[in-house]
Amino acid sequence: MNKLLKTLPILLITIPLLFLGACSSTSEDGANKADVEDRTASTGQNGEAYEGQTGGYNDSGMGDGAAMNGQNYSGDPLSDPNSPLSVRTIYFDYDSSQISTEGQSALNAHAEFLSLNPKQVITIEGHTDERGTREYNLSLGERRAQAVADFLMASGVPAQQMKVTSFGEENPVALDHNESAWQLNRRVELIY
Amino acid sequence: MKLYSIKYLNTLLLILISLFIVSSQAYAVLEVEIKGGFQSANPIAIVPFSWSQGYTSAKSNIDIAQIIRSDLARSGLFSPLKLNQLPERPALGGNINFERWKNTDAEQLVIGNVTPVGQNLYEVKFQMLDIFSRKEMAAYRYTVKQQQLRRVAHQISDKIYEKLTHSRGAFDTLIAYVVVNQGGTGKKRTYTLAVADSDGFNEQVILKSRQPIMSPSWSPNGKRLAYVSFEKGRSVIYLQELKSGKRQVLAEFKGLNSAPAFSPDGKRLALTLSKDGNSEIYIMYIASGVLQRITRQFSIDTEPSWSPDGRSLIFTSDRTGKPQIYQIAVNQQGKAGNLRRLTFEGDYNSNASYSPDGKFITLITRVQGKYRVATLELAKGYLQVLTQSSLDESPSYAPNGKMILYATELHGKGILEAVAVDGSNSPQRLQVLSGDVREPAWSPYRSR
Repeated sequence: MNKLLKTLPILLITIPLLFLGACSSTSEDGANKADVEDRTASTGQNGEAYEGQTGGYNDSGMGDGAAMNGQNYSGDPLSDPNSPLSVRTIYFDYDSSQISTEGQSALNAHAEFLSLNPKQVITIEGHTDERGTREYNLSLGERRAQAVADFLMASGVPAQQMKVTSFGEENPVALDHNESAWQLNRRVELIY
Repeated sequence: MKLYSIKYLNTLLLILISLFIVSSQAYAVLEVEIKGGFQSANPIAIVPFSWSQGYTSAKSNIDIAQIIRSDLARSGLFSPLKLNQLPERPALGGNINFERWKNTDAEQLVIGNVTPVGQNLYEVKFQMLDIFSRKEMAAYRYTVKQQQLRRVAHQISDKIYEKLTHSRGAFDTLIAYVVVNQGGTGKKRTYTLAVADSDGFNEQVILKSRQPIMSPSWSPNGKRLAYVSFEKGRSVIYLQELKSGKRQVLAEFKGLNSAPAFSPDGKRLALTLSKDGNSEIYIMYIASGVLQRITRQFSIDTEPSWSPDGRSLIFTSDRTGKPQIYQIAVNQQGKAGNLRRLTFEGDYNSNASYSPDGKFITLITRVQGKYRVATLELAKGYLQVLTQSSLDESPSYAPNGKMILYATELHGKGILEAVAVDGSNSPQRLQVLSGDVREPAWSPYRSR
């Protein structure tokens, strides 16, 4: 929980910044200045909702934002490619279930979202690279998924919102037999 | 080893040995010399079996002599003559020019024939002769249906093997394995659990799924397979009757349900469950479903395997930080003794299983970043690495304990290989099956 409180201010600053960037790159005409301001305002509201911790995240803030500027952005943070929630894969070192600093910051965003959306249940799926034996890797994948679940729980997500499972080395995303493929396969996927 | 052929030794050595009348010392010299570069496999001639009453459809599909040749070669103990090395192709009961055979490397000669004796029915006869004494060493006759001709070939391989090595052959056995077809872009992977003859031929599908299938384990009577399937989106252990295809769920607990291994009496299953927090070894009584917890450790404990006497389990545990093999005594009430660590060499040893005589275990060990098949002699604690490949998995003993079957990777594809337990032959690749092949499990002996 402490971690969440610490990272909140950072998130409040970075999220609007991200949206800023998205807007300026997609807008084409001279009206983009106004768009940017609108957008900032909408995410600002959104930020207040965070602070208050009183739900309504989905309906009010984001919905308004989408209505205001009428761009591709659907209003669902889960489908916004610029949201930190779009990071759904956490990568690991070989034979390790330590969550990297990068992984932690992504998970902080998920922890926050899940805390604010208590009905949302996610599946946390652990995977390994192909090296070593399959059944050991199945257990290792579970240990990674559990490490992610533990991190989210420590950040305030109730256990009921998470399903932990492992596929070991059975579902690789990269099929080559080299370090760059192995890096991509040593992962935990968050499935909404 | 009686099989070592003195014909491969140079003349000087031959004279020396005959002079010493094979005293034990001279024998030791002989063995060292052989390992130092002489061909150690026993040369044997298998003449193509002749088909009576002309052409039949079976003849074009099944070359019995060829099946025997590859069986014997795969064992590492025999080097069958190539077809162009055969000086003649005598018929069963016909004249044999032994003088011509003496000029080959072969010491034994196998000849046989196949006669159609009814609707889809064949009689297969063979005879093995000693080329030097000209005496018959073995002769058998089988009457079978066409679809059993391959099996007869394996049974003949077993007869030859038994006659010449004095241990039981394991060619007339089955292997279970998983095949993955990656499907290509836009297509989904398919997983197939299959059973085939010990040479990889005659494949039969046991289960097909879009989701992973893992860990096939034979029941001791060879009639059932336990395995892990993800068809429900997570790992569940099933038990399937091979003949009927009937199956039941054995373990579907919260968390992992993994690594099933039948006890030698077939009544219990060792397995890995994480229902109590993390991967632990349990024993399940199959008829009642009663569970006994064996390990209790905040670490990964998995890949259990029974000793042949059913009194202990070996398993992989990373309780010291890296996976190593441990042994624990069990009885009908569950855990019955202290834990003993078995592997100390290297920082990755996993997926161990016992040899049929219980004196060795085979396992995967990491050597300079490569994962290889090794054996460990339990009394001596000596680890012997048997392969040179880098991504070996799932080593499994033949029921006669003479060979180890395992999965490895070649040119980006999963393949099956077999290697002699003493490392006397180079790994032999099994019949190429389409797709990635993995997780082989060698069946028990089949009833004859």
